[in-house]
Amino acid sequence: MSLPPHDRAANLVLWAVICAALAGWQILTARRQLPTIATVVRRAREWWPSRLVLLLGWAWLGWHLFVRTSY
Amino acid sequence: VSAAARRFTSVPSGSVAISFVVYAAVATSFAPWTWPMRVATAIPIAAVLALALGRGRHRRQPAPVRPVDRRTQAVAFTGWLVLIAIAVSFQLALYRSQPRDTYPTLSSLAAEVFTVQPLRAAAFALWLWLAWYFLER
Repeated sequence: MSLPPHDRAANLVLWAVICAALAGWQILTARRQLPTIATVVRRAREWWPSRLVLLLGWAWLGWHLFVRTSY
Repeated sequence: VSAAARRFTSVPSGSVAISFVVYAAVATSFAPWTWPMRVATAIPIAAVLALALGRGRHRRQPAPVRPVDRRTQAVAFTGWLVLIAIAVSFQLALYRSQPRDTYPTLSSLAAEVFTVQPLRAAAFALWLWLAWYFLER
């Protein structure tokens, strides 16, 4: 099987698997009192270069989704 | 905790949340690729970056450490990094492939959802809250 597969349904399934894995890891880490995604972001905010990267990523995301994405 | 220290919390106050929703509703009434939409998106970006740069390189208070050993924490962090790397790699692989209908990226999937105006407005409000969360003291 090539990656990404030449099939929309297969790609959607892979997206669903990735999202489920992220959600599952979040639930697992939260239940076991381990670093959740919020902890990872908190750590990133502690150091100004990574905080700047977070904010630049946020700015790019907004511009990309709301200005440059046609529907 | 002083009032200044409590100025930013993960959950904004009612008036701030309402202003996010109202601003998002107004901003997303404009179509993509138009100047009003560019300006409506650029305003919060400029405000957030100005606020962040105005704070300078001040080091934040370290995040509270939970009582688990370093190795277990490292495993959890590695898990996050691996999963995020997989998601980013898959997104890039799809982005480099055509046609978009067969290889849907996150933004092409979002574009399908954004045909529903309230969902686009909700996503914009969520995006504003994300900046609030990133700037939280």
